[in-house]
Amino acid sequence: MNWTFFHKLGSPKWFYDIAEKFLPWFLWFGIVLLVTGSVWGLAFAPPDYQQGESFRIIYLHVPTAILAQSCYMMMAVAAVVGLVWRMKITDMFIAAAAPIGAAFTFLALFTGAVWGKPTWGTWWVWDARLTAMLLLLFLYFGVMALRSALEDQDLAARASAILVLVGVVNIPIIKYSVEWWNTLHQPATFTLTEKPAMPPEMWLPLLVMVIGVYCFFSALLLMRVRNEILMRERRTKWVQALIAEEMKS
Amino acid sequence: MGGHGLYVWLSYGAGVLVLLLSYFSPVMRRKSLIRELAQRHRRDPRSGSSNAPHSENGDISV
Repeated sequence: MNWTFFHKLGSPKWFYDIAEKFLPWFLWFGIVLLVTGSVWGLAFAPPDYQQGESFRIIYLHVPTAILAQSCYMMMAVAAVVGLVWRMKITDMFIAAAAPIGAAFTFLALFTGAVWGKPTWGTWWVWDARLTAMLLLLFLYFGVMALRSALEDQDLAARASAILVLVGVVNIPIIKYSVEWWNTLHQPATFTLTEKPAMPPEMWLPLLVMVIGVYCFFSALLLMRVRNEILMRERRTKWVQALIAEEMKS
Repeated sequence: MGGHGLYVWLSYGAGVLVLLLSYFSPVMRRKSLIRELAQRHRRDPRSGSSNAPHSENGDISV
């Protein structure tokens, strides 16, 4: 186990510099993959024999839904690490990730509703998966609201970590809801054990979109964490030097 | 498009909008943050600038 990595992670300046290096790669890969995946999904994938063209919403709905849940899981891991090892970077991660997670959850809910209207005949239904995803959105908002309400940074860090962990039980509920309950939302297209129910011409652009969305998410996250670092470390020499440098240009 | 074209474009339109907003939000925040920190430093150059972080009240960032 390489503990030096963890020690470095504890240094905001190290993280800031690393983030600077990786940011353009994540951003450009993300954009290219998202554009490629979207064009592929919109123009080249074959239409569904039952749903026709509306199924193309899948290329936005599934990746954003996956990321909405993934982001929360990452925040939960950060919360545990933060509570046990008390590393500032974990709190910065949670602060940075929450608004991004909220945005993706909103997008998943919106595209889902828009897809539901022609497919199911309704924009919304209070089935397990949809309700749990809505709850996820409220959890993200809750974390953001809690942080802005608490002035003391350490208290805000601990409180939001606890809130994240209390809400984490929602994630397996979202994931398994379509198996446990009789829901309107269809079961998973992809499982680890079975062949996908879709042909490759349909799921390849989906894979591209999922990877693209993860890359773009990483870029957004790095941008936000850098801002957090600048704010929190504003009294340090290296930040003041950086500000002076930025103001010159 | 079988009449469902509107739904597809609505979804992708919302997608582009949300992704653009989520990109520009931290970009704008960074600009205003740098400006604000530079101003604060000009008004009150802290001769005892430390390498230890300091918790300050009322700083909200989205």
